[in-house]
Amino acid sequence: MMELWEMTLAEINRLVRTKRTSPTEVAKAFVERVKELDGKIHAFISFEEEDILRFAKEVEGRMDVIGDSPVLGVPVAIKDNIHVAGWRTTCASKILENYVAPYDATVIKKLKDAGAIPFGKTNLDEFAMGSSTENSAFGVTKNPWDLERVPGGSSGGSAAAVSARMVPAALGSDTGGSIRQPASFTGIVGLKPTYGRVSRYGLVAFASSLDQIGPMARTAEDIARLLYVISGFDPMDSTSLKESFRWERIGITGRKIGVVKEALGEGVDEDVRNAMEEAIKTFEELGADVEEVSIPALEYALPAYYIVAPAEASSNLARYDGVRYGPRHEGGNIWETYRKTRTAGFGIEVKRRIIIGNFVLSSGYYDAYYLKALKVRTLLKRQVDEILSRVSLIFLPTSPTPAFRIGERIDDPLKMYLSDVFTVLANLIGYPAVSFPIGFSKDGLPIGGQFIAPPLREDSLLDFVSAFEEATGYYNRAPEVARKGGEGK
Amino acid sequence: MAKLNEKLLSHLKELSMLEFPEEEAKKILDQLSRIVAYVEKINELDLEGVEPSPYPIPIRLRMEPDEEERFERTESIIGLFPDREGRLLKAPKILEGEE
Repeated sequence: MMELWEMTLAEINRLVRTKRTSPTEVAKAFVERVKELDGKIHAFISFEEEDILRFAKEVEGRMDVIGDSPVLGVPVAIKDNIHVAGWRTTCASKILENYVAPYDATVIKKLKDAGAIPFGKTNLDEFAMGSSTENSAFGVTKNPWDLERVPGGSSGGSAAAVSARMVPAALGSDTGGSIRQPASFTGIVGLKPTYGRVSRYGLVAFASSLDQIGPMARTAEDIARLLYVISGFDPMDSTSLKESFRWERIGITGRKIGVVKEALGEGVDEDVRNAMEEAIKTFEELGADVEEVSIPALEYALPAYYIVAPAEASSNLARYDGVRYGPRHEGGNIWETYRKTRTAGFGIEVKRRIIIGNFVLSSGYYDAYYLKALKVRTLLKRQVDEILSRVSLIFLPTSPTPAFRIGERIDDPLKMYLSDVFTVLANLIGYPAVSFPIGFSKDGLPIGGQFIAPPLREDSLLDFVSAFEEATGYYNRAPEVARKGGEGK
Repeated sequence: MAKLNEKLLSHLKELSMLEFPEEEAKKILDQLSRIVAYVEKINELDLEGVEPSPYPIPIRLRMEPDEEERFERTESIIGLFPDREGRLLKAPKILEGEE
């Protein structure tokens, strides 16, 4: 019989609903996993074992009321920029290192009501700014597939926790690829919903027109269950959409995929290109039609993103001033206090982005940079809409390379940014996108493929991911460190 | 093309209310200059007649009824004050024409 930690979210949920195990037993099994493995991986910033077991006990008492929930009894790790009341939300920053969340984020409230167990707070790049989780003020998370490599970012902790089977599922957030790229690097599935699909109430804001919370798990089914529970209209989020998510599981025969030709050129690792070729063949064998498509403005998505995102961040992070919360570094007057607090509290990448943001918004530069970037956004949307009027989904790599080594890119911000060259598009236009495992590099590192769908068509994404999963079984491959008796490299 | 020189950076640090370590000043200026040069790439595009999109979806302001709600967990917020006197937040002086 499989260990609980080897099971998917759906399998665990089935056992709990049929009373063959209890939420407490499940929670204890995963607490043991975290204790066994997190010393090596450092996926978690905080882990409140007592609270977790108490949540599990409470769920047991409410099982009749909760009824047939698709996530009943399931542990879900939470990225540490999403509020769980009573637990610290640090955003992996010194400026929030003692901040205790006064309320539950809407997604947390929904998870709790559905009987899922919030399972610790996971590591991230500070304020979700980064592609490797190396920008955390509280240590680097290791990629379970190779402990000398990054898990990706910014949701690296969530990705590593799921990949190492320390939890069956996690929540991450995605502003420029921060769910999808770490999912790609760690061999799991990560989905960024349509902008507005999932409430951002209780997510610490980085870039308000780009941020979305999303599920990270090992199968399409698991992703669907989480998305079903966390999505939905929320009066507390003014950008929240009214439409509900539903997945009817339609086959992919005869449906069209558009492979983006600009995403398979030079600059993309040979292993990634090979994995994409293989995946295309697999989809053709499964009966889908594959054609080549073009997004001529694709190369302008990343520069536009690195204008819009820092601009919004400079505004959203202006509140961190040491006055009402966080460590305060007193100066002689209020201005010195702001300066000293922010200088001491923010890491270097956050500071860089705030500076860039203030630059592109400042008088004399606003039109040339920020306004223009907002036009690029419109242009990209036009080009993508034209393609999606002909095909069901757009297909491209999640990232140009597999996971890089820890320390390899941290001193070169531009090189680090290039990791997101294919993911920022979906954030700019607000369309749903998913990364799923499509193969492995010669070094045995996971490679992710990415689908982008029209707004509200997460169901389409899942149709294709689930067909691919069944055909290849990649979702079942676990890193050495996670296996029974595995030692890890 | 913007020249990100020390003078401009100094102004931006003022707007951002933050400082970089002295010994890193040159490296930071160099990194920021390269980022700015990179994002200027969007100037290659002809954006004539293209409307800017501040958000991915059209944002409609939603009105809410102005209803009173009781918030019971005030301590969870007051408890975070870095400096307090009873239930009052203590903060450095703001007025008196200081800059």
